Amino acid sequence: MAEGKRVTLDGNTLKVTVPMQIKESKGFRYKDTFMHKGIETNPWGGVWSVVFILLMGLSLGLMAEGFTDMCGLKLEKIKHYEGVH
Amino acid sequence: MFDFLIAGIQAPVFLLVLTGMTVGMVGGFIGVGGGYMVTPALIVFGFPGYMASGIDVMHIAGKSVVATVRHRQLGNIDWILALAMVGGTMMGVEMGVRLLNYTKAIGLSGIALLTGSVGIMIGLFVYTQLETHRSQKKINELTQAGKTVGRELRVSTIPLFFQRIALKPIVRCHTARLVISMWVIVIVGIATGVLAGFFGVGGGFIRVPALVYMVGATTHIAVGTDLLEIVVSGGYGALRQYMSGNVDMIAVFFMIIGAMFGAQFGSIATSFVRGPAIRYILSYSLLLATTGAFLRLFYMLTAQQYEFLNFFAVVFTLGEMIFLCLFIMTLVIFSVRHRHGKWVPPWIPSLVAVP
Repeated sequence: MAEGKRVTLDGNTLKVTVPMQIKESKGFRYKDTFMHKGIETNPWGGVWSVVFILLMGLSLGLMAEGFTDMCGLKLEKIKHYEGVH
Repeated sequence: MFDFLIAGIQAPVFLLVLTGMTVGMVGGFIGVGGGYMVTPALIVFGFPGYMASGIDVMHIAGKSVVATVRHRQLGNIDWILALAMVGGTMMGVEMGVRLLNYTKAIGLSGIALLTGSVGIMIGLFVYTQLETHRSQKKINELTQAGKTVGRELRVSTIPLFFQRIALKPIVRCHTARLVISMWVIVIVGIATGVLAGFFGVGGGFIRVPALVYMVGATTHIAVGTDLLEIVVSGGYGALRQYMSGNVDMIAVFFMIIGAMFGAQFGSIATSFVRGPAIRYILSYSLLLATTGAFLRLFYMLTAQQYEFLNFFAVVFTLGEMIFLCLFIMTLVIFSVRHRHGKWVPPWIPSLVAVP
């Protein structure tokens, strides 16, 4: 058997390298996420994640607003057009 | 150190929270997503480039909601202006991406991207600096004449030109007190969207000056309205990135925790200052980001031989976040001192708001 890119002789053992490892050893970094390793994800996962992040932002924002109001630091609307402008 | 399984790296959680907080503060104050600061920072922490972009855009979507909620409370959002602009922006982003692909196909993308980015940022920086300096001077003159100066004072006459275009439908933006052709808003949205899509950024640092200098909104309203737009564009970008498998949600979660505090502070800080102060910080942010991009351009033009150029580009990007946060905090501290009649430097009264 001839030694090639995928198979190398290491003493008495044959070392087989999977194609992805050959690519990665050359600095190829774009196919090593969970998705590219063939792990199936929920096709709606992206939508759920974005909705989750937006709702989390909304909840955190409203919580912070409520917290400052509760502490007596209620912010008033800025008067944009008072005085010379 | 935390093991980020999806990204396949170990990174300190503290740094992610801190980055979220600093960028949140700057973003909440000047109305930008901060992608041009976060992505290089995440790469420095060890995240692969594509993961850095994905995590960045997902965290921007969440952080913008936090900041938008606070800006809504402060009355800084014009919903009509935002709705009229968002369609144009999305269309522009798609056109910008296609333009990028075209330049890539003819082998120009890297250089074209950086040259264009540096040119536009320098142009915006110079104009914003000159205009804001004149505004500040005028505020000082009016104050000395005994007049009460409001939150905003702009000396640019460019918005008047755009407001005179009488192309129907004409929209009335109540909060921004504007009566303007909807086409102007849509075209400004498309133009800023093209730039954002081409440069691969959220576009806040282009859209805020466009809203101020072309549409004629006050700086505070431009900031709030732009953040609302970033929620939409960032959400769409986050979806695209997630579908490509580029997002580590745990990293996003840690960044949002930090951003929640930062965005609160940044948004509330706008109530302490006048419009020119926000424009000054925006222009300094542009300058520092330009310097980083300029160093990266030289790094690419010299066939990536000089690693120190890339290193200094990263240093500038990270230093920018810290510098801008300190600047914002300084303005707030001096504003409070000024309200209590304590000593402040002579350049402060024209930049801070007195209730």
